[in-house]
This record gives sequence, C-alpha cells and structure tokens, in this order.
Amino acid sequence: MNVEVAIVTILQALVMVAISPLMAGIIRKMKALMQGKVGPSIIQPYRDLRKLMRKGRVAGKSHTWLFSAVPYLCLSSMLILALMVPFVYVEVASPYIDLITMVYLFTLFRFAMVLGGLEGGSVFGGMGSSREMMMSVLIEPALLLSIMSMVALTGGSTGISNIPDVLCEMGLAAVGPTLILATTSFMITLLAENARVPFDNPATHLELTMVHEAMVLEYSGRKLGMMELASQIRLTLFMVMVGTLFLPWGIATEFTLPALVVATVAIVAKLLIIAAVIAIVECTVAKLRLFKTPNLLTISFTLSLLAMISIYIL
Amino acid sequence: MILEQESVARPELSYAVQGYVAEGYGIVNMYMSEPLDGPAQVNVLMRRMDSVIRLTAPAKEVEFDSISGDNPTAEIYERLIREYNGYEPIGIRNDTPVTYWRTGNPPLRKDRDPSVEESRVPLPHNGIRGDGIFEIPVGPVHAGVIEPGHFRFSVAGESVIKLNVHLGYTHRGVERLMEGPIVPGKIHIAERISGDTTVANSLAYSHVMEDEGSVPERAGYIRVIAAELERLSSNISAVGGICTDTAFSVPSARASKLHEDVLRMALKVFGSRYMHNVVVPGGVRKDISSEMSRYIERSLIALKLDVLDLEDTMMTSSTLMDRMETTGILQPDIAKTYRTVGPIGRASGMSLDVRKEMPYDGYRHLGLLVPSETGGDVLARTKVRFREIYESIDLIFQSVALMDDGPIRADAGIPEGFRVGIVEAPRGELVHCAEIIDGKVWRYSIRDPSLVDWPMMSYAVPGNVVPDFPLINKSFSLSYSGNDL
Repeated sequence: MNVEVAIVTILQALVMVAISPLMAGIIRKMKALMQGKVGPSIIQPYRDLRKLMRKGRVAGKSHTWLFSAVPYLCLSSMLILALMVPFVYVEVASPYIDLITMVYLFTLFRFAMVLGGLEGGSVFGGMGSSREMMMSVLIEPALLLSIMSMVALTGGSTGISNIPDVLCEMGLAAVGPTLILATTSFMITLLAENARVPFDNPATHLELTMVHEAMVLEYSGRKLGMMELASQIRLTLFMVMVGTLFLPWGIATEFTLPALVVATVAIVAKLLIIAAVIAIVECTVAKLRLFKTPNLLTISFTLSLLAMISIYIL
Repeated sequence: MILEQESVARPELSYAVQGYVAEGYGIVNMYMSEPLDGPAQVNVLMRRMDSVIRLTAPAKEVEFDSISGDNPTAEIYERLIREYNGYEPIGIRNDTPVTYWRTGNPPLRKDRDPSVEESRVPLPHNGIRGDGIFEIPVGPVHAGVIEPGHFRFSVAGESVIKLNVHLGYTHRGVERLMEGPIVPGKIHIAERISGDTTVANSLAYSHVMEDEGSVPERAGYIRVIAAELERLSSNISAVGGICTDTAFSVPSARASKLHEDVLRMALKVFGSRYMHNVVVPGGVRKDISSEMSRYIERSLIALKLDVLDLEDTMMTSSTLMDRMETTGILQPDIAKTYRTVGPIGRASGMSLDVRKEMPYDGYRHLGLLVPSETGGDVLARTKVRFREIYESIDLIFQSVALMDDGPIRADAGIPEGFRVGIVEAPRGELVHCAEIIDGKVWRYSIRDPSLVDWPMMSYAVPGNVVPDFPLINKSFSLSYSGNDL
C-alpha cells in the first residue's frame, strides 16, 4: 500500500461524509419540485445539523449508558465504512477488509439503532425496533446475495477493489442479466435499508407508522444530530456503492489526474441520477402496508438469487 | 319540520323509545336538563324523515334509568350525561369514561360551584391482559398540528385487539356559554364550536333562533352555497389526508392545493376563508353579485376537473388501493345499531342525509343524490367523499342558477319554548336544541356528528395493524372540539 492511496482514501471518505447531508437535501428538493412545491434549500440539512449540534439534550428516566453510546456506535460504523467504499479511485487503503465486513458493518449500525430504540423507554421506540428487526431479517440476505453475485461475476474475490477493477476491464461485456438483476435488487434494498418510501416515510410525523424515525424519537440535541448524520452517510454510501460496485464505469483505475477528474464527474452524475430515481419512486408510490413489505423484500431477494444463478446457467 | 313533544313516566322511557325505533325513528340527541322547578329531565330527541319527536322523562335525584340496554344508540349520550351533568345512568353496560376528568363538580349542573377545581384521574387500563399483550397509550399531544385526543391500544404484536378513545381535552363549556339572554353575538360562539364547521353550526343555531319560513328565498340559496363550499373544503382535505398518511406525496400536495383553492374562493365570495359572519338568524349577511356568481361557476368547473384528475390518480394507484381496501371496516350492522351519521355512515350502508330527508333553506328546491357504499372500509369512505364533492359542486351550480333577486334578510321572530335546529354538517347530522324561557336560553344542547362517530373507531380499528390506525383515523376525519364542546 502506498501513501497516495492512503491519502486518497482518507480524502474521499471526508468528501463522502461532507456531501451526505447535501444528498439528503437534494433528494428532498427533487421531491418538493415533483410535488409542485418550492421546498427547503438543498443545504437545509447542514443547517439542521448545526442547530442540533448546539442544542442541549433530554433523555427518558429509564435510559442507561447504552442509550448514550448508540449514536457513537452508529456514527463510527458509518465513518469506518466511508473509508472502505471506493469513491473516485478504485483502490482503497483497507486491504484487510472485504465486502462481507462491509455488509455486517451496516448490520452493526442497524443493531445499535434497534438497541437505542429499545433503551429510550418509550412505546414507539419498541415498536420501531421490532418492525426494523422484522424487515432486517429479509434485507440482510438480499443485500448479501446481490453483492455476492457481483463477486461471482467478477471472478470470486470478496476484496472491495476487485469488483470495479474487473468490471471496468470487462467494459460493456459485463452488462448482462446478472448485473441488471443484482443492481435492481440492490436498489430495492437501498430503499428498505434507508427507510425510504415504500418501506417507511422519512417525512412522516405519525409515530404509529414510523420504523426508522420511531427508533430515534427519544434522541435529542447532539445525539440526534449524530444519528441523523449517520443515517445520511448511510444513504450516501449506498448510493455510492451503486455507482462504484455495480455500475463502476468512469472510476479511476490508474492514479493520474485526468482519470481522477473523469471519475469525479462520473460519480457526481451517477449520484444525481440515483437521487432522481429515489425521488421518482418516492413520488409515484404510496407506502406499503407494514405486512406487505416482506413481499417486496422477497422480490429483492429473488432477483439477487436469479442474478447469482444466471452467472452459472447463462 | 314537524315537532311533537311527549312526556313519559320515568320507567317507561326505554319502552317509549323502543316503540318509536320500531316505527323507524332514530335517536338524534339525548341530554339532561334541569327545569326551574321540579326534578331534572331526561330529553330524548328522535327523528324519522322530517318528523321530530321529543320525549321527556323525569330523573331521580342524581340518577336516571339507562335506556341504552335496549337502545344502544343512547349509550354515548348517557356516558356524556354522567360526566357533564353528573347524573348516574343506572344499568349502563359501557363504563369507559369519555373524558379525562372525573368530577365531583359536573360542568353542566346548574348548581355547579365554579370555585372547585377539576380533578384529573389516571385513565383506566383497557382491561385486556395476557402474555404478549401490551397497551400503547398515544396522545393527547400528537406530533403534527392536530387536535388533542388520547388513544389506548391493546395490541398483540402489531394487531390491535381493542381501542379506547378518550377525548374531552378541548372542552370549553360551549353549551354553558350559549345560555342566557339571546343576543346577536351568540352566533359567533356557535360559529366557533368546531373550526371547519362554521356554516353548519351557525346554520343550526339560526334554525333554532328563527321562525320556520322566515328566511327569504335568495338567502336560502346563499346559505346552500356557503354550506356546500364548507363541505367541499372538508371532503377535499379528508381525501388529501388519506394521501398524506400513506406517503403518496404528489396527490397529497395537489389535494392541499385544491383545499386552498376552495378556501380562497370562500374568501373572495364571502370575505372569510372559513365563512364566519355569513349566516344569521333570518337570512344571511352577505349577498352574491352576478359577477360573483359567474366567478363561482368558473372556479367550480376548474375545481371539478382537478378533483376528477385527483380521483383518477388515487383510484388507479395499485399501492394506494392496497392500503385502502379492507382497511378499517365498519360493519353495516354496527353502523345501523349506533346510527352512524355522515360520510362514515354512508360508507357503511346508512344513507342518512338531512338535506334529503328534511330539506331546509334552499335544499327544498334542489335535486340531490345521496351517495352510499356498503364496504365500510377506507376505500368506501374515500369513494363516498369523492361523490359528495361532485354532489356539492352540482348543488352550488343549481343554487346559482335558481337564485332570483330579492331580500337576503328578514325578521327572524322571537323564539320561545323548545326549539330545535337540524342540519347536515360536512361530518353528518348536526343538532342544536334550546329550551327558551322568557326570551332567555335556559339550556342549550349541541349534538355534533363527531360525538356519535368517534365511538365507531373502537369497532373499525381492532383487527387492523397499528400502522394503519392513522389512515383509518384520517378516513373518519372527525372533529375533536365539536365532540368535546
């Protein structure tokens, strides 16, 4: 591992963290425009975070140290992940960590948040946690399998840099049923994992229907700000993963300035397109019934299973 | 309206009510009044088409015989009398309190001591216990800008087994405020009983205070226009709420735009978004010019096209249909037993509509179709609301076309004795009753449609999952302040 790669890794992690509130703001703005509203400014999430970081906090009587530790756990797992996901340069400076670690860092985040929901001591936190666990049972295999089918497509290494590297080499020859099925499946898990419509409504104020929001309902002030930031980073990371693991064309495979510039332009374009897809989905469908969400997640799982099978039979 | 009055002996009230029920009458109001001399009286008001009957029976010292055993419709009124008047209904089966306070000092008692503070008691547990059964208390403070109400769910996992609704947080003592000398300012209290039911309440109040037939014809049509604009705004906001609660964001934004359009139309035509100061006893305050009539017609054509488009978007969305179908079913037999009124009743097979059965003001000359569905689910209620929107637009068109020049206000006469005003509010049958002695209101009783429809939530919600509750609640779209008075 050389120094440049280490610097790029750290720099791109910082960039990803820095732009994640912006991504949330862009999706919100796109949704507002589609609804014919003006909508808040795209930098509103930054203002919200600044406000939250300066506020004091209150917590329920029954909370323990775990309740306070959860935001740190969530945020740090997301920061570690930001160091692992390729952004503009194909290699990242974390050779010991592979895709399976990545999937389970996301799971760690969810697990911590579920504990936080239960620790808050309110009924809504408990309800949110139980719903989240019900969904995660189905999200996890779909997520793992869609990534694994990409691993299988690119030659069987679970190293993170391997997938974009091989895909870029294969060029358009890589576009086939496997890639399309795996990407579709991953997009569905993206919506589920990040509590978007049709699985959850990030804009709702109705405690009884919440999943993700119910778990962070008892947090306030800086702790809430950390939870919000962690969720925004998670959404951005998922979007970046679509852009670099599933559709990596444009990413810099060699360390030259023109390649890095092209890669930057490419990833920005990809992120905007993915944000638009999310906004369109959120504007065209109503939220599913809670007990119908497993159906859609099962579809996601089936798609990734088909992606995996298609490698060997086609 | 044909009003009859009948006095019966204390033990015979239940039989008398049953007799009238057998003849097709339904209880529309029941309240306790304390005459100047003699014992307190239980009053039961019943209606069949345009004939109204008032049954009175004396109460014992601080109790009266419950009639809800044989007439379940009376149950909610008896529970209210117990808490607001402090008379115990003997033999009532449902003991659940309707408000959050327990009083030694009932608010409607004539001998109430105002210096005694209200005491709050913890609300009771739903009474369902067992392995894995939890009780979720929600409210009275909710997220979002809505009225306060406390809900208790007994749940097994996500399924609701039992729901109890506890209201009373917006009790302002309206009935008490309406008592005393009849002054013109009283109508402003009536207009503010429930924020979005201004016209219906002021109309019911006017019917109480004016002699029947004293309203000029033109004023009758203007009253219809105001009342139907109010119904439009209420129904559009209710269907928009369905979209909001299911995160169906584009139609939700469009419905709120249409709702705003109606309010602005009201502002332009009547000078007030919620149409305050329009209806007065004897007529209306505000005339509609011929240019204004053209404006109303033009805006309504545009509105109708937009609503048709909105309905199309909603009814062709598979995800939204899946949320609405079979959610929150209110069985037609329950609706019949408890005489559910308004769009909720009409979605469960009850086709009660005062405008049709007992036409008042301009409705006497207008044609009206009462939409009815039998499904009783959120979808049926949404369909009924959409058809009511088209019906309201049609009624306004008819009124504008039929309106001749003429006076808009006449002498209302001097009310005396027992008077009743029944109108169809956006949420259903609204009843105002007054006992007037020597030109002073001695007892004023208001029956908001929400009062009879709120308990229906306890029948519609169990069997559904917790996250569907806000959707069912929004499809009912009931008033808290109208209920609490």
